[in-house]
Amino acid sequence: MILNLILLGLLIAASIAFWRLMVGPTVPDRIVAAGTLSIILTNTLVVLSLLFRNSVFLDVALVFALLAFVDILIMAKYFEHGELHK
Amino acid sequence: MNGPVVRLISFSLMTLGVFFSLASAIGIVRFPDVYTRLHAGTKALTGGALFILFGAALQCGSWQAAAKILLIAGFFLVTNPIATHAIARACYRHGILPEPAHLDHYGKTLKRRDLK
Repeated sequence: MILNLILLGLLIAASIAFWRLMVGPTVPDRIVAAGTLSIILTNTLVVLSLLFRNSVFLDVALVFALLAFVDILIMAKYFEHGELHK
Repeated sequence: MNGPVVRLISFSLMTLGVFFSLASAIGIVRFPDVYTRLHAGTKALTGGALFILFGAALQCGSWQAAAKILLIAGFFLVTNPIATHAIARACYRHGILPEPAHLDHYGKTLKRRDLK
C-alpha cells in the first residue's frame, strides 16, 4: 500500500519533469529535464523491484543509470562543440 | 531484517525521498534560468535518490539485492555532479550567461587563455 503511494509520487514527479522536457525553450533545459527524468525513473525501477519481489529490476536499473550518465555526457559534449547553434 | 521498526524507518526514508523528488521536479518547472534549473535538478534529486535507495536497501530481503542498490546509490553520488558540471560548462561555452550575474571570473580566465 505504502509502496503504491511512493510509486504514485515518483510518477507524478516524472510527469512534471516530462512537461519541462517537452516545453523547455532551449536545448540545455531539455538536457537537464532528461537527466532528472532518468534518475527518477531509475528510482521507480528500484521501487518496482521491491513491489514485485523480483531482483531482475535491479540489474535493469543499474544498466539504465550507467547508460543515462553516458547519454547526458555525450549530449553536453555535442552541445558544446557541435553544430546545434546554427 | 523485516522487523516493524526497520520497516518504519525504511518507509520514512522513502517518503522523504519522494518529497525531495517532487520538490526537484517542481523546481525544474518553476525556476527561470538554466543554471537554477541545474541547481534544483542536481542537489534535491541526488538527496531524494539517496534517501529512496537507502530505504529500499533496508527493506529488501537479501544482502545481494542490498549490495546492488547501494552500488546504484554510490554510482549516483559519483556521476550526478560530473554530468551537471558538463552541462553547466557546455552552457557557458555556448554563450548562455546567468541573467543577474555581476562577476565573471570564468569568462576572464577563458579570455586570458585564448590570448596566450
